[in-house]
Amino acid sequence: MEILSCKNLKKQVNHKVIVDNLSFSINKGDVVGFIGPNGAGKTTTIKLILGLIKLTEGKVYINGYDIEREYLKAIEKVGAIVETPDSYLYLSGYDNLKIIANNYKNIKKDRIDEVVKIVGLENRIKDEVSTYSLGMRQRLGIAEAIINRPELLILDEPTNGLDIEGIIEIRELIQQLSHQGIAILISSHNLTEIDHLCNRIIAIKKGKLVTDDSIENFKKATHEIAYLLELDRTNQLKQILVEEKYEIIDQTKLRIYVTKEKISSILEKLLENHYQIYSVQQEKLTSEQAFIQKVGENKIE
Amino acid sequence: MIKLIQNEFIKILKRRNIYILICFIILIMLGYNFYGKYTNTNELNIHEQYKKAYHQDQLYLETYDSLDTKEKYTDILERVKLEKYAIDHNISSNLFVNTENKNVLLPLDARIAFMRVFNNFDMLIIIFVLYITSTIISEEYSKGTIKTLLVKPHKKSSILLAKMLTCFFMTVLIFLFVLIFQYIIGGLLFGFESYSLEALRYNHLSDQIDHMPLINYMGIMFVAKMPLYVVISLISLLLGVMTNNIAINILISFATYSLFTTDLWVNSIAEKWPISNLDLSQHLFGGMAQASAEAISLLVIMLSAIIMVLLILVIHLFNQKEVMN
Repeated sequence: MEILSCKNLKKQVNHKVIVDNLSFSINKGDVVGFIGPNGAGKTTTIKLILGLIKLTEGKVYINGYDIEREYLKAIEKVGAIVETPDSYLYLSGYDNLKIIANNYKNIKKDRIDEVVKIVGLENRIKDEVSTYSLGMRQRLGIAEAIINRPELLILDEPTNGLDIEGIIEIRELIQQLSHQGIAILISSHNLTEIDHLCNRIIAIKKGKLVTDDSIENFKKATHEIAYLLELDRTNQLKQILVEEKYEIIDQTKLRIYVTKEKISSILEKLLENHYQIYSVQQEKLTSEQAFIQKVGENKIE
Repeated sequence: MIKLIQNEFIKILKRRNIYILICFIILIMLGYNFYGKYTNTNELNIHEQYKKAYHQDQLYLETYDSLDTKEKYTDILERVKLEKYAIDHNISSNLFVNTENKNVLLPLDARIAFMRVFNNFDMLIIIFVLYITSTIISEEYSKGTIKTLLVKPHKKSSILLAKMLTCFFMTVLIFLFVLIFQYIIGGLLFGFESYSLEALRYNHLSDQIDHMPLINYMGIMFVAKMPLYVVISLISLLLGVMTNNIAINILISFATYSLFTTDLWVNSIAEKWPISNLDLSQHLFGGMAQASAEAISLLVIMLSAIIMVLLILVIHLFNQKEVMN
């Protein structure tokens, strides 16, 4: 069952096109990783989906309702954290949840207590949010987003700024929610996280769709493999590896994304340019590496 | 809508700054009342004071054109009429609400202190109101909480209306608080008995002393003050939609308030165009002596038009505003 459908989304500010003819859909039970380099248009797309900014062109349907024409029906079963979980810092966590609950019909105290338990904030919920750690604020943000029992949950960078412990906690929480059949769209820079949580990936670059596929297909989509090369140096490679996609790991290590047929010619090129090759190791692509190979490095565009 | 307003009240009433402002208002009001009590002289012969004041002010009025004074002619006229009325009717309480003769000492009592609330604590109320109106929208945008608010099944206009109504209710509440507090503190310090006296005001249009029960007078003044407060609140809300800078918002709104209520206007431009003073309470009883009854009707129409235009602007800009940060 299709929960979210985005058709030919376009957002143009002045003359700059931020989102360009972007189409995708999300079905019930999907946990979708929404990825792209910084400035690719991920947050803008999320804001377009939620009606926080106006579409230049295109249509967004949530549960079949047009976000522009039938906003109230469309947004009723949506929970979202956009960019950062923005709670009222001077209020307690409980007051924040009470304010959110007041926006919906028939959300009683029991439901507030239930979401507090889900996110594990029972002991601190009466404290002012300003005293919360970043992880606790994220958890409160998720509690706010799920209080209305959403069918679509949109989380923009849910683990941003968290320590490892916090990341694991939020990850477990999202996994728990995904088991309840909620469609989840997670925008993230952390591709390991996407690897762990999602069954689908939507990648965008410069506001355009690059990939919309299952994680497995995303990794398989290319016939190329990653090779880890240990060299005497990794400087001045730009002039030699002009067409190849690669990433420099440190002063002596280089990861290069090429097919096995091409690797010998690359090694030859390096030798011709007096590079010493100490080792060549074939690697299985993680989604992060597949992303770099597909979308390019994480540069602001 | 009720739940949206309830939310806005939770957000406002849980702010520490609100209570700091209320404490500040209480302190100023206590200071004014205790100062009045401290400087009151019990042995004062009020009838003699009125006679002395009457002779001084009458002379003052007659030679007004030759004097180099900043005091308004209408203020002196108002005093002379009230002094004459007090002498003729053997009144032994202070009748001066808008103006005082600095050369004579008339004691402050609870009734007159109560009637002066609108003159004395106007600024405090407007500061309180502006704190709310300047933050209620712009802080949601600057702190990002607007995203949480907008991604809920409410029309944008309902969210805005809830905020506007909350501002209005808060204005009424702070007004009532100031009135009740003054009533109690004035009564405790000066005695409650003077509240049973009627409110007297000289009416410049009819050239008569109007008298009415105190509660009616306070009600009329309260209602007459509200349009200006609504205008200033809407200007502040408009600025809140246009900019997230709270300091600029308060500064411009306060400047606008001062510009349209100050004596500067009354003395210069308002002489030719009395409706430039948007404070309806100042026009009551012919307070703006230059203004005719028609001018007051025109002012009411103008205030209504300004409120409508501001409302349309705020709603339009709020609906158009995108959440960029």
